Amino acid sequence: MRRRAAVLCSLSLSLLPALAVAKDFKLGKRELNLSVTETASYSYRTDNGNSDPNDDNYHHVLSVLDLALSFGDVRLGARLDLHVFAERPCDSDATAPPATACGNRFLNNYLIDHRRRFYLPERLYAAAARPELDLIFGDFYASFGKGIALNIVKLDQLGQDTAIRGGKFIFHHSDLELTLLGGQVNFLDTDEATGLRAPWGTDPIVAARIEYRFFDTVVAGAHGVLVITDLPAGTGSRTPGADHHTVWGVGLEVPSLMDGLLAFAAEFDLQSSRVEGIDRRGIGAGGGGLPGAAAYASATLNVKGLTALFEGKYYDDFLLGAAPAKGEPYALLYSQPPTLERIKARIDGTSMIGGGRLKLDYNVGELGPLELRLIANFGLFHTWFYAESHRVYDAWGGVELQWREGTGQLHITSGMRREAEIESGQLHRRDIFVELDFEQKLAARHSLKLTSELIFRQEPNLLRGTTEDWLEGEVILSYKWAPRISLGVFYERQGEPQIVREREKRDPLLGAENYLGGTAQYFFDSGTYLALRGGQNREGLKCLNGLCRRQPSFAGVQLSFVGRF
Amino acid sequence: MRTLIIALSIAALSSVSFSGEALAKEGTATNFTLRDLNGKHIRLSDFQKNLLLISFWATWCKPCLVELKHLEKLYGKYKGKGFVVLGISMDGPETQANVKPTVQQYKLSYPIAIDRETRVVKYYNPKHAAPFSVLIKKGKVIKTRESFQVSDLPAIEKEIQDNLR
Repeated sequence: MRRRAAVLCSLSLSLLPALAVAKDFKLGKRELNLSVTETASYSYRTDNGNSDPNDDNYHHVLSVLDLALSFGDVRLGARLDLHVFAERPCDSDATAPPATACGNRFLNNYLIDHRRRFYLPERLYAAAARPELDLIFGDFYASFGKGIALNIVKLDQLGQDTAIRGGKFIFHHSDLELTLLGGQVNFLDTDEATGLRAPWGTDPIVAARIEYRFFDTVVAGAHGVLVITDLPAGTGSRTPGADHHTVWGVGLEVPSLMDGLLAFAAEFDLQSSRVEGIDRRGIGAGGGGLPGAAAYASATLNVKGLTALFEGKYYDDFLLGAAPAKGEPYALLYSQPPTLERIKARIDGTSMIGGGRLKLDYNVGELGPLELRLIANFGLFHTWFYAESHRVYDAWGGVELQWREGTGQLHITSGMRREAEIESGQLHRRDIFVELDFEQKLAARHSLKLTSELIFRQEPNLLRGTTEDWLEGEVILSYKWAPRISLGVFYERQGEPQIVREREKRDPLLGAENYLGGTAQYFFDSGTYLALRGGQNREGLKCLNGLCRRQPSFAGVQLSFVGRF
Repeated sequence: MRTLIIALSIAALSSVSFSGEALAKEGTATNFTLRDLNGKHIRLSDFQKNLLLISFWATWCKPCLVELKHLEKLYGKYKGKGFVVLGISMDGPETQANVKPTVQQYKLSYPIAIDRETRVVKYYNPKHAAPFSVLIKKGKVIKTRESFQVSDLPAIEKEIQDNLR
């Protein structure tokens, strides 16, 4: 094992300093540009404190190689991923597919999954971009209107990037835009956070949208989407092609009325689904045509430093995504109904919800040496799931302060989100949160940054018949010496009783609720850097650049390199 | 063993290019068409004659909001010399309604487009989508930048000054 770890380590280090190249050259009279970008990391995960030993003590080298060749308006691209594991993580479930099952973990087990030992073409595409025409063959992303009908976009920050592999045609002439696409869903084969193989089937999708801009003011659009969902081969007994979902929708957008005083957007979609054996909610006989509907509207009023944003929505059994698969690391969704929920809010499903939200944003302006902005938000929603319905209150406010021409700033946001059953009044969840971001330029090239989020959670424990309270959150302090060095230390706390009970059995060094770590980055150039992370991160909802996913806890070290030119 | 050989071969090939004099930190920027906040089409080729800084940002990204305000100041200072900032919002459906109010609140005067399909950002493969910026001169990418802290401002301004000469 030591020898294998040494090979993995030296392999990753040998990759590090080399792989970021852009080169212009000529082929005949044609000018070509080749760019090679490498993102490589080596990580060693120790015992992360949960009760599963099968995600501990493994080495992981990940190399993501992006190649792009451009000439004129044409671009050919590929993303090749290589995962190499020593003592790879595995799924202890006896019914897990052979590729992820634990059977031979401590033998030479990655031989049974030899696809991982080579660069896999996760993304391949050929694209042509003319002033009035975009044509893509291979992997592409797609989002229609407000994302209610279709939203498959780049999400690789959390290792859950999904694309469509097929063909896409966009024609934009004057005020008209027409999009036609077809292909199969193409998700990343290996989930970076867990090291396990993704379990879904490759669902076929065809879709079309037309948009037209009237009178220089109104953008109107209509679209249709068909998805055939199925379970991966060998994991179910459904009739191939039997399950399908269709969505039809129309939308209207008025980006600016009365010289920017007003703006308005609305969309309405209808979904019809047929799922063999079960309905979309996972219970009942199903099998028939299951109707769903979504309506969304937002309006903005802008008057002298005050912006008022109203959002209203009604989604009834509206959900478009892959069939749930055993051991899935996250729910694979093909649409994302809009919501102005705080990006870090923990939400239990948005497929059956109705209500509205008002957000006020007031730019007070300069107050002596300070610049001040105030934000207030109030939302009231109902969610339902068959006979049970909940009421959600969501209220929060914030202050943004800047001083010395923006070289120092402070953002503080605080609020409460409460969800309770309507009939009995029983609490379902309550979060009180405080978020703080502080940054100060110290001298010409030095700056200090403090980021913190604390959440006081309360939830009933139905098994124990009690209500549990706990605190979770993080404090991150970082220092940058521009343009080369960035250093950070972080403290995280996760007091969720279920997690604490598991960690107590593992006797963690810092106590069952505490996590500590540090980071160091060296920038060779503004876009090329080497980063070292060590310590522990808590299990829970992790948000990175606005995208959230429930991540497993991490303990160990990670050395990564990102380079592009 | 075969994995090792393949990986080392790639590393070796890349090292040759990296150390050679032929390395150019320039890549041709691929053209694109997006809609701006008023629904009009906006194209990369519209800025062929400018020094263009594309800033990928989002309303939920706090460092991006800080960067936006500073870019507005730089835009005001150098636009007369041919410098343009193009803000490309990475907001997805969940936060798209916030984009226009944010632009109004921060009094941004430079053009803003929405990359709702992540079609443009994928050309540059940032590890973290925002804040991420690309400096383009005469259709060539001359600099990319991940992350932003206020201490980066002097370097950003110097890059602009150097490339406007």
